[in-house]
Amino acid sequence: MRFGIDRLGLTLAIAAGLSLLLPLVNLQPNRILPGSAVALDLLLAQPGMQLFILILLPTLLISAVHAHATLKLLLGALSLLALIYGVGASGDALLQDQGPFARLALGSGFWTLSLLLGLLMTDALIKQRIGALLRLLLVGVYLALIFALLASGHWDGISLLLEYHNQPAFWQQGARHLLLALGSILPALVIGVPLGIRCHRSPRLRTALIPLLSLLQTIPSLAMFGLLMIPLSLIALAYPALAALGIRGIGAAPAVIALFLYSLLPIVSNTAAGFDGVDRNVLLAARGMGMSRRQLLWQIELPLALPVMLSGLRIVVTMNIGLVAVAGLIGGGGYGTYIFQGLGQTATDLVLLGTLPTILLAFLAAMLIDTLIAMTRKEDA
Amino acid sequence: MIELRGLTRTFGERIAVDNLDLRVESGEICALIGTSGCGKSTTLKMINRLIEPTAGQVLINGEDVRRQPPEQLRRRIGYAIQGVGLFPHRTVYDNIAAVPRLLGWTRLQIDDRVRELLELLKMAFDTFAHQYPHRLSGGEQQRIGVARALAARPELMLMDEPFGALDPLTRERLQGELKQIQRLLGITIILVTHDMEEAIRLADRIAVMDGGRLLQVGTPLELLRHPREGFVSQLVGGEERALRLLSLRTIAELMQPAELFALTDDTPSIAAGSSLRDALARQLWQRAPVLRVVDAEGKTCGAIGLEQMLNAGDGN
Repeated sequence: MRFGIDRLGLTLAIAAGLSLLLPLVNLQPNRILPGSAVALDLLLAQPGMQLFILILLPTLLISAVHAHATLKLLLGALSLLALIYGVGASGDALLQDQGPFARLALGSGFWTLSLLLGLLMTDALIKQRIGALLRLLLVGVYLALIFALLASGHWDGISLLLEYHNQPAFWQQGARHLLLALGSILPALVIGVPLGIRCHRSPRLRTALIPLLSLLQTIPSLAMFGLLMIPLSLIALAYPALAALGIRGIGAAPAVIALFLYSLLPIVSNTAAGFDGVDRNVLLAARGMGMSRRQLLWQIELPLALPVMLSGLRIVVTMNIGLVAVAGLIGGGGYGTYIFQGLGQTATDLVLLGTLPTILLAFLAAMLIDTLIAMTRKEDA
Repeated sequence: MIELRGLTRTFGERIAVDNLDLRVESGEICALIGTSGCGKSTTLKMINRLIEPTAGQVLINGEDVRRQPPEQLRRRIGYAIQGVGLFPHRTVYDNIAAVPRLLGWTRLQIDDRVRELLELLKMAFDTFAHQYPHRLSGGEQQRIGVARALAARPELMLMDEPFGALDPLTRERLQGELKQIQRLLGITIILVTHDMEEAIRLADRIAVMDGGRLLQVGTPLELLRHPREGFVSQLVGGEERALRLLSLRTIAELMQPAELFALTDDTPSIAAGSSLRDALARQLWQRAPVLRVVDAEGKTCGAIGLEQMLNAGDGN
């Protein structure tokens, strides 16, 4: 093992140390009024936070030098868990003698520290060079641990969890969020993949189609929803049967259609690029040995183009999960609903209750597809 | 027997192959040689219908290739190309098994055949069968390419500059192996190349093409001795022709009884099966005007001097 300073680790450690000076938690008299930062010394008097500091200090020291990545990963993971536990466990003591609506809101220090610890873990995870499948498993187990901590009741004084308890439909909204995102991708795949293959075979189609799809991408999502509302409302008026099926100017229909249109470009262009990338010699050899067009497509072209096609899918999935949040504004449902409600009520934590799961979903979906890509590339990497 | 009759192919205005007639006998290696763009690859591709001729026909054992669907035709004809084109997402085993699978062979038949071919190409089954192509060297990849082309026991194999991308040493070794395999299996090979050395080393007959036309067809010896004026004689080389001629003949053809020379224990020896070119190189290298010729058991069976060499390389 080499001894010496790990530059990235040192930077992260210094930044993490400094972020302790930012407010970790704010004490709010109720859910709307801005709170005041809880002083660090008061916070450090809590046993939960003392435990956190006890774990954080060696973590930062180890992170600043060249050390085994597993050790860094383990310490970083422990620190973040300890931070989540510590903040939650301090809640009861800090909220004593406060009014009935008082609550703790997570402060900028908490978010900065979480982010920095996350970076530390990511760096260690990359240096570990572990397989994509194992990585997915590790992240899954770790997230389960965090959720267990949140559900353990320690966090019930934290305003994010209070907002969560106010939203009985939280998980239904999550399912709807995914449904909207994936429901728009499926038709985009069914139409986009064959279109991409056509584009690969016909340069003329490509020069006509790709600029058109790019143009669609440049339309801001809100404007796109607005553009779709008018024709969809007219259709709903003219055909009440369709309206009963949910084809209306507001709601899910314009959202799904807009997301479908956005999804086309990455899917079409990555499919075409994937097919372009197949070695001409491989195709010549395959044809020369007597493969039919269909065999060539299914046995040679598709498997070889798949990694590039999947990276297009990755773009679309993460993009759509983010864009579905905007659909909340036009009554499409999903986590965006909380974001816009929260904005309307100036309730920051309700906004977070919509934002954090959206980010988490996008992150998990991207990781899942990365794992798929790694598995399809295994042979020819 | 493969017969090309009046084979013509045009691409727009350009005539790639112009009224070409050629007969290739069963069991021989025929080299189509010429500079790039002379139409040799196009000719090859018209045999397995990767390119359809504008006019003329291709007969294999008297049957027009257009009488059956192109896919079925190609499965009966081996095809090996310069870029090899192994399937990167499939193992060596699955690459070799490709055509047998298209033909619906049973697993047992395929397994036997893959083992047989790897053995034929001197590649250990356990080491190579489950490797992916990117783990192989260029020479190994081309060996697998040849094995794949031979998998369904074709009677005819088409090869498009199969060794063009290999280093000279590997190329020479693979050329030797190909010739052995071809003799062993008795298959017909039509080989496209731009390398005269390769054509002379491998081919029973050489067809020289230029500008889409066939200029001359003959055995390597005929071509070297009596090349037609112009392109063909340029291609077979001026001064180098002498060395090429020597490379076509074995020492056994020309050696003299050993008693005619005063051989000593220091006289270098050479195998009777080597080419005259090898003998000349040995003479120059060891400053030995006379070489002892030995048979397979190492017994002296004759001798060869510089004088015999001088008589062999003059083109007559």
